[in-house]
Amino acid sequence: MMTTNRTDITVIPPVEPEASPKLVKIVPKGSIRLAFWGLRIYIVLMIIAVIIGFSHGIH
Amino acid sequence: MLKRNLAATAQILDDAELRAEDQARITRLRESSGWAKKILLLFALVGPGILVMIADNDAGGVITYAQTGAAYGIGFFIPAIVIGGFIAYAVQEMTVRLGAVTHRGHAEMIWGRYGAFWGWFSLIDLVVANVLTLITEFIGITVGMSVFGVPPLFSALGGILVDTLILLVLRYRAWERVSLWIALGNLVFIPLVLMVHPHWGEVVSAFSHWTIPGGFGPVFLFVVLANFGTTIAPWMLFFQQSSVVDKGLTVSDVRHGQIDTAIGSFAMVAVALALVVLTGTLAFGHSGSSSYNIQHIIALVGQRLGATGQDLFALGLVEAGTIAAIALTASTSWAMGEAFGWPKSINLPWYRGWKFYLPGLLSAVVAAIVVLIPNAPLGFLNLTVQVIASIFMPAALMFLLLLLNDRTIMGIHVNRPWQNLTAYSIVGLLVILNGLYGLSVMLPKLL
Repeated sequence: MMTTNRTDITVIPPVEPEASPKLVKIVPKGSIRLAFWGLRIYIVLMIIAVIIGFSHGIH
Repeated sequence: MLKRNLAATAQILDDAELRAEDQARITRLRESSGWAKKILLLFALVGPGILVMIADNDAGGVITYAQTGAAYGIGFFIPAIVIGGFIAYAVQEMTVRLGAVTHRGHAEMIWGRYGAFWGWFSLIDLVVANVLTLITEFIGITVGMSVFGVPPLFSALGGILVDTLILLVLRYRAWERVSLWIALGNLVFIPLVLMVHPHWGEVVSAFSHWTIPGGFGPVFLFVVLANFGTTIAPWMLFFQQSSVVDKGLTVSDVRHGQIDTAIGSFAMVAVALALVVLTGTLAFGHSGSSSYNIQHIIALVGQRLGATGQDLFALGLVEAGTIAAIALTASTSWAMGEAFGWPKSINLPWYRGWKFYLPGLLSAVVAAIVVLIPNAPLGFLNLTVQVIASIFMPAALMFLLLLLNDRTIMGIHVNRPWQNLTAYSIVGLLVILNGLYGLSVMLPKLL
């Protein structure tokens, strides 16, 4: 039995949050797959820019 | 083995007891009628939104807004900051729904839904960016405390001590309430701006006559990109979602979560406006004001508003660094806990949740040490934060939008068409600005 000085939690039973849906890894398809490729290209371009920037003495 | 199982059970029971107590309090308030109870319910449920938005006005933010006001006055940036507030609300509101529906943090969602590659990518980016951002927070704390004659070593130690004690000694509800009291200190810039008696007519006319002071040039573009590009930082998505989860908010609480985020956005905008108007009134137009650093600004505030004004400004800077350090530390701990499946709640006592608390506190200690290193390349580190954020931000926003449109996990709480239209427009704008900002930092001659 769980009781505290401030709130008697046995008076009102705690509301259990809804069960979280089980997380399943997705295999990207269609537009999501395209978005992931766009992200990869963006990251590669930015990393190239970082390398160029650092090699030219980023300030 | 038995000992370990008992410890794990005790840990779950501790956490469950605290959550049950919180939930009983909320249920009682929800079932009560009357305005007083409704207001009490709102007070009980607000927290993550206000904290994340106020912490976004961190030491770096205070310095940027103050320098922007000094360099450009109050013409262009007043409306821009208001738009920034709407953008911040639209993005952060999505983390409230995601957290309340899934009861999982952002790192856990990315890891679980999109796999280890994107999980590691997000985690490494977040942790590195958080450590580097923490450095700027400790710079703010040490600079602010220097006004009171406190040496940097003691200021940094004090910052670490406050951060550590709040995180380790207090449980979630108390941690959140104490953090909110500290966040209240961010509002100190509002009485300060009233002390300089700004031209309110000029502030109002900024909305009707949106002009670019000094014309559009590469330097101005850089400042625009800095202000817009850092409106939403990656840590904010992780922090608010994890905070919503740790607070135990459910779908019934989404409305209050949205109000919480709206109040936070309003406070963030009010403080940012106060800073720009303050330095726009005090410093704009002075010779060399476009290159004022924070020490120049503090000295100017002292000259014009006296010792009280200067002390208040310095305290605001220290508070901005402290509240952001508290938020960043928690965000690192939550993300690590979510990624590696560790027990991850501020409800855990330190001796049971040390694995969860350690990464966040370690990041703060590293940041404080770096600040104390003589001649540390702080400017370079600041640029690196911006570069990492500009690479990471589009990824973080893309994951957020994908998750909010994932009916399998969001059910009926997926983004509605108008929410997607708003969100995609914002994400598109932020991706372009972040990309341009990253490029302008890395390849300054390009823009």
